[in-house]
Amino acid sequence: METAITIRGLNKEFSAGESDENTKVLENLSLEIKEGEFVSVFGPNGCGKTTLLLILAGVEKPTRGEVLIHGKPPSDAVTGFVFQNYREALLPWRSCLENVAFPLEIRGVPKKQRENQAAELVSRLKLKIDLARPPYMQSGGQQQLVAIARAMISNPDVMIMDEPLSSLDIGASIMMRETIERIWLESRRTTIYVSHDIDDSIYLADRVVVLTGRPGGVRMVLENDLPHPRSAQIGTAKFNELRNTVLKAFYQQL
Amino acid sequence: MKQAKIGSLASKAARIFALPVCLVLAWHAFSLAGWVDKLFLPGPGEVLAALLNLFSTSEIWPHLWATLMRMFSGFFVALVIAVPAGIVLGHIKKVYLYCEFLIDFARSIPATAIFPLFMIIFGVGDEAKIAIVAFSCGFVILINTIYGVWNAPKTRIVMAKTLRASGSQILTKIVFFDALPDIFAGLRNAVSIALILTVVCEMFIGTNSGLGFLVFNAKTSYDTPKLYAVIGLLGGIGYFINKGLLRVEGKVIPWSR
Repeated sequence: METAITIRGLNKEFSAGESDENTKVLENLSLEIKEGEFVSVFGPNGCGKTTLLLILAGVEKPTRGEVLIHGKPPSDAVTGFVFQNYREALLPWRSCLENVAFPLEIRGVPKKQRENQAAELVSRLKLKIDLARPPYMQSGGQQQLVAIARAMISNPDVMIMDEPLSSLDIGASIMMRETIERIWLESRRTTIYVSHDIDDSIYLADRVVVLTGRPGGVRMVLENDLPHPRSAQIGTAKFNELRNTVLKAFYQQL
Repeated sequence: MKQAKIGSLASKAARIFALPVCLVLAWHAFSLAGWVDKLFLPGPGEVLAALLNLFSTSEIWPHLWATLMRMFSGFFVALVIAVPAGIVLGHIKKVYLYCEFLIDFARSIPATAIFPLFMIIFGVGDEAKIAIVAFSCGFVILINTIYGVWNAPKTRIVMAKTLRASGSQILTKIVFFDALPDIFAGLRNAVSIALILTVVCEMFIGTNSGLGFLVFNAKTSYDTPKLYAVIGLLGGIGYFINKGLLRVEGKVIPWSR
């Protein structure tokens, strides 16, 4: 299988002013993600998970090291980013349809064409969203679905998800987890998914990457070959074994 | 259902009018008792008669028009300059840091202190009054717009950057809309300041029209019922403009409620 994402010796430091030392967020992080793979990144607070995603999205630059998406630097790749806080990531002054179509608007696609594409995508993904209404008039789960559709409309090389379930209540979170799994199974789009929740990480991923504490590096990579759909796998001996392995790795680096 | 609606409307009307009606009744009783000289406190009936007289003789219209024209001209000049300037200053920190001292210095100058300067520059006509209103309202709108940009969630800007949006796309499609709730708060403050300054200008910068001129004229001729009537009218204008702006705000930025 072709490599979709290559991360080699990635370091990221943030300047802490003239007198203080720079803050190291990521240190010597290396990882390869195959085309069509779903990888969860799991780690403690402040270990640089979001920074890693912003580097992959081309918003932040590495201090040292190399990041390539299909052989190109992230700034030349098309990425679809789903944020944790959908309220602050969606545009409340626009309808859900216009939100989904927003990436095409940025690229200069004419209004009629981009709105047709957005409506077609939402229907193809079987998402139940009232496209004519603004996001704030929808439930939290529906808003996050709008955000996912928006991330997918540009046909991205890579989907990047930064804790997309953590702002949802338990019911919406379970529904969303199943929807993300279904969309991924249908599209097989390379996805990197950051989560604080160990069950979500195992439920969705082909591989779970456990990061060390700050500065973040790879602590452990765990293969997950549980069959899909995974709703039937929760609580099974194999699921619990994976869970315990991840937890053990997590506690060892605390 | 209908009864409940009528009940809710009645209770809303009671909340709004109960205290003003009590005050007018107390004023009437005070006036009837003759505790205060009528020259200082005419009765509500006399004031109402003076107000009706201003409208029935059509005396009020040219003055009302002059005040509203000066007030809104100054306000709109301020709006057109201050909102784009505030968006750029708020978004580009370096530009703001270069302008910070000048903005804080200029907005600290009392508007009344610049009357003479603006009269020298613009003459004693409407231009000077409009310029003074625009000067003071401009800084209120500018500061609120800058804070609106600063208070905007950074996530949307990051989202736009992941889509490789240009700087101008980020400003016009994200930052401007995120700043709107604070811009509207600034506009409501500015419109009150615009009315105050217009009236002050009409009282002290030579003119023969405007509600400020009417107030000043009524005072010099000791026509206190007319004085109270115009003051009451000014309060009403300020109140309704503010309510109107709130309604516009509800239509333009319903998400911020």
